[in-house]
Amino acid sequence: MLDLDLIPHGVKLQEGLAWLAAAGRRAGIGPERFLQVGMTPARRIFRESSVQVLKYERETPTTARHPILIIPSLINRHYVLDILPGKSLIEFLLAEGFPVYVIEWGAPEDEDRWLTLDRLVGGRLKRALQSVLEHEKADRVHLFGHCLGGTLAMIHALRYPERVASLSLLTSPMDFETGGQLAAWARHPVFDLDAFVEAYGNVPWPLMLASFHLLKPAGSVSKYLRAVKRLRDPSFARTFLALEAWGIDNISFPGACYKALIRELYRENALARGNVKLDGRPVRLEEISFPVLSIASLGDHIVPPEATLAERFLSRESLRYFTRWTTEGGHIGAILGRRAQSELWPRISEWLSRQGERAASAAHLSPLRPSDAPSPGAG
Amino acid sequence: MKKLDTLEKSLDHKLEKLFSNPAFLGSISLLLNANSYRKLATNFALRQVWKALQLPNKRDQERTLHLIQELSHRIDILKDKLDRVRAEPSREQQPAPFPRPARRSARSEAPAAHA
Repeated sequence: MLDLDLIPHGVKLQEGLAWLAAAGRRAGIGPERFLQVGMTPARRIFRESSVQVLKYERETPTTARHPILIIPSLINRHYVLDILPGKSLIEFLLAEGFPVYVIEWGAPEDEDRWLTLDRLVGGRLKRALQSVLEHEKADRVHLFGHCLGGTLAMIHALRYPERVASLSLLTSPMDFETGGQLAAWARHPVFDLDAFVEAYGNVPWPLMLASFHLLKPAGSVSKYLRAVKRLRDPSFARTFLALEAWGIDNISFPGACYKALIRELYRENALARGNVKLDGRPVRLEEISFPVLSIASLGDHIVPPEATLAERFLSRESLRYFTRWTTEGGHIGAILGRRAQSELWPRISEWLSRQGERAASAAHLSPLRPSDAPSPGAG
Repeated sequence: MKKLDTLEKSLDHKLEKLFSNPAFLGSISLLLNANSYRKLATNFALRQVWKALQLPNKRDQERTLHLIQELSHRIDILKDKLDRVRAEPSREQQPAPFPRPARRSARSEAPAAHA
């Protein structure tokens, strides 16, 4: 299936490593085993094709009113937010009393080349969310989207707001016109998107990984040079290796979804312009009717802060539901770094609790109180 | 380490310029296109071979599996609708369009399902 002619040698090496990782996993010695990534115990409550919903087990009783459903990016594995014990956002949210669920997209099957964005969000994501509601016997859920997962969550939440207690967006792109270099590449008119998807079916993950590395090619090399000096620090070494393992443990992108991503989102900026349709109805950002928290990272070269959800997309009415924070760091560091652990995570938890209370007390539709507005230092 | 930072920044800046250059992007796109067309031609030739052997090719199988999933999706939608209908009060307890007197009195004794 995979046409290796296209893949640069550096990526072939990474593919080899990923193959080794997959082989190791089958033999019970995968990176999860020796790197101890994604260690918070979880069990599957839903499966449809490659998509699974995992529920994280907890020892303490639940105190939150609504469960959290984490929606990761389509090309990444889910465990980045549970990367290592003690450095896990999921572990933290569990300790804060939230029931936490996560969607694991899994590697798409060959037939998923025809899986459209509409079917993915209006079908698989919808049913995954439904499974959480049924399992938790809840009427609403806190959606928690990371990167492109946030974009999918937003599309779904706009179409089905009655199931949403709140939506948190961690470095999620909404305005694809200001999407940095990725947007410039995606919009290049010479690239024959139809032929590409027709030839490859699902877009091979090494190609997508290579494009991410090419955003900062020198940085991709220099991080290893920097790491060499600090590898004697066991905590740094563990985190570095865990993130590197996660970084190459990617999944391919369903072909038809990729077409929609490039054509509708990147080229036509359809979401920001209100031209995306889900289940036959248009979804518009200015119609937000549930609390939304958008977190942008100033040093993010994959999703620049300008590309995340901001006030300019919203109507006066929907602005009342909107909170925006900016943080330091890169695409992942902003969410998992030390500063994020000590400052951002507790604020997220507090914000979620507040929105849960409001949703439960049916004050969901009332304007935000002044305390809900971002603090001046938060950007 | 400072030297490395400076080197990294300047190198990334230069490469970013190169990767944003329309001429460079055009050439890369043409390369990708050429590879896609080559692969399409190979896939087509292989399909013809399978067809000559009267065997379903990979694309046919993928398409069939996808259609099965589509059907399953529609069944799920129908199931959802059915569940919603079942959750509503039964039709017998609803006011009929042209109610007969006997039914009306029976209904008035029954507890209102939607109350």
